[in-house]
Amino acid sequence: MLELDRLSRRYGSTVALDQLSLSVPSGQVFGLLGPNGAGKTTAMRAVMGLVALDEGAVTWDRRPLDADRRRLFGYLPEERGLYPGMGVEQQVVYLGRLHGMGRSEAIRAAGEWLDRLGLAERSSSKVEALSLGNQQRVQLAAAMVHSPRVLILDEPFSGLDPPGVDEMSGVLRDQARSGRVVVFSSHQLDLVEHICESAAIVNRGRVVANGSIDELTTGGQRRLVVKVDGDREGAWASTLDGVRVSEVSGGMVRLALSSDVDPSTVLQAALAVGPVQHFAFERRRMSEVFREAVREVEGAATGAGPGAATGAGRGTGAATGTGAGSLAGAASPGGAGGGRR
Amino acid sequence: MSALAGPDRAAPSGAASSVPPGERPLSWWSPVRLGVEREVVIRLRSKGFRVALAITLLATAAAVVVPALVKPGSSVVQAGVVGSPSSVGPVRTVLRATARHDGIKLHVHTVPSAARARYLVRAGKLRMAVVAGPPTVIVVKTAPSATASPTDAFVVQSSYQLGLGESIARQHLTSAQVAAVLSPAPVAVQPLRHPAGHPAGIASFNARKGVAMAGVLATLILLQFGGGWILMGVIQEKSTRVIEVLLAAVRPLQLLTAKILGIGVVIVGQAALMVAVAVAAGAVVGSSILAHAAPAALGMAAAWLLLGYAFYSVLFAAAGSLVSRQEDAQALMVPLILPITIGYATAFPILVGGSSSLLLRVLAWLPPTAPFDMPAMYAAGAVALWQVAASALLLLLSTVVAIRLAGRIYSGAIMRTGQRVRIRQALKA
Repeated sequence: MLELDRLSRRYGSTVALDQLSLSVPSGQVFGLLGPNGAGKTTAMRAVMGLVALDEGAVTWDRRPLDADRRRLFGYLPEERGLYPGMGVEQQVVYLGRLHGMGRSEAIRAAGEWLDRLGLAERSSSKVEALSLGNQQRVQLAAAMVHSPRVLILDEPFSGLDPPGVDEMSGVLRDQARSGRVVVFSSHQLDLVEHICESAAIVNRGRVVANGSIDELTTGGQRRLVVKVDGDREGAWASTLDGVRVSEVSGGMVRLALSSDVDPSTVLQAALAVGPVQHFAFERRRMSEVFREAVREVEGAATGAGPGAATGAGRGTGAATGTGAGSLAGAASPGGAGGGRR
Repeated sequence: MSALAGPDRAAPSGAASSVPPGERPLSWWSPVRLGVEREVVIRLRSKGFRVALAITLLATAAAVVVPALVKPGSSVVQAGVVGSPSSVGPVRTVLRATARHDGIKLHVHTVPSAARARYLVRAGKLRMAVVAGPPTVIVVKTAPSATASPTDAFVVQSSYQLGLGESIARQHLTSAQVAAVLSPAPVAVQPLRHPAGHPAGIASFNARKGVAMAGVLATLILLQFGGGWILMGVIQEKSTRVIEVLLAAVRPLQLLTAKILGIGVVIVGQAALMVAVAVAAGAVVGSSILAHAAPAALGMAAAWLLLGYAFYSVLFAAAGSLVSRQEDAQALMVPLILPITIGYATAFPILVGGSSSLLLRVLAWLPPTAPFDMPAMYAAGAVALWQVAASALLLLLSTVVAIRLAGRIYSGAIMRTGQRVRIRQALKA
């Protein structure tokens, strides 16, 4: 169990972490989700001892962390970094040895990881000679070589192609199965909701929602997805009481229903527009969980709760309408390649 | 690859190994040792380093060989002797003894006639010809001046020695008595003012200056190499962001120590190679500079190189930690290279001109320039050994302060990317 207890950190007038508290159990893949600038990277750096905290503490198995215990952690930083001119294997072995491995042990472990990640033939190449995808694999091998008991992975999926995403999530799941603490962060909420078992959603340095994916996605307002033949905008639904259009994409109108709304009134309204091709309840998406949690938190804090950018979920969802990763669309136009060089 | 990463596949690399590596106690020095090893290995593998090393060593060899070939004094003096067999013998003995004393290489030829000897001197085949008397005459092309060159001095010296032999012969002494008179034990020479440990011999004194000059030059070259490597290495770790991966495993001061010691090992190795090449080249051409270079002079040059490196290396590292891009390195090099250059440039007037103005004396005591000016002052005989030691101590104390300051700047700035970090910001962090 890795516990972050009321972590706070300010940079001048910017609040990076605001009493952020979080418990990560071992044995499951845990997602730390939120838009860019929410404080995910600062929180992970704080766990790794790379950021001095103004307040708060990180404990692992109820004991505070020091340099010796942190050597049992594996870390994949958001901004990837390796020595460009150093050989692949040489580099992974070096990082393994810095974590306290013996020479032969490090060579064996590096060989196994490079083999698993399909880099065995490139083990003597210089890192700078590899493709970006392969550099990412080397980075992962470097984080894993010393068999860490706690994995801290900052945006591990960013910049990966679909096979790369599968490969990475396979590694994460394996590590969780063998009883390790596995935390990863992502700003693409919908892209990773099937990868993690539990998640915490952070915004402005605070945890706004926290729990298993089931708990998070089944709570809140019901989601109804309706497709009416010939209708592209879903304007018919916006006039209904207690119904909010959360997203329109390819004629699929995604609605959030208040608890007092009878779905049959929605069906009737839809039928009045045209033949209904699709009418089904769905779980909340993580991006919706995020938006609603932010609205709740900010509504509670300010009363009126205009919530600037994030509160305008309705408009942005409809405008970008890219399905998965709509939060990324709303919060960070950079998308997947956001933080990459 | 996605097939390989299926959820059922067990994690590799001994997931269930009995003791995870990180749980073993790790000494502070163990990652430092690894870092040192890395710094040395990457340099030895680098083509650029090997080329630069080869050039440096060639230059070192040239610095020893070229003066030895050009300098007239170090070439062999060809001398002719004319006379009866009984008179030629003593003349040869006197010339050889004198040459040995003056550090001159001599080759003595027996010439059949005085006319032939004159011809050979005029043709430049012989530097001098001794026509044994009495009265004995030394034939030369132009009149020698004792201060012009070692060879001229040798000719003048020989004339006195041969004259001494003749005047002894007139006293009708036994041959044993003559031999005793002609091989005197020199009386003690007591200089009123010279630095302790300085032998009075001119050749040795010059050799000390030569070694000091070589030491000053080597210090310049190696500080620039080492400083540049440290600066670039720190910036590289920052700009490639590998720093974050490293700092997840080791502390900033361990990283800094490893870099400085690792590059220090390379620098010292390079200095040792330069000395070895200089000694080897000197042995080949028979240069007298190294023959007279006492180990003490070399030791002093080495000590100042190490002190200078210790002082400057931490400053270069601190400077490197302030910027995130190689392009910004140039601006940071200047304030560090400048005192090095001043120290180097002012060491030469001291060594060549024996100048020791107030400015130079001050520079010899200032830590940034002391590694150059203090050994030069000592070699020139302008300071005593205790003053050298005191200046070295001052530099050492400044280095301790520099290490503390640079360590704080480095630790505070190394994780900050983007804009150049101000020193005050780094110290506050």
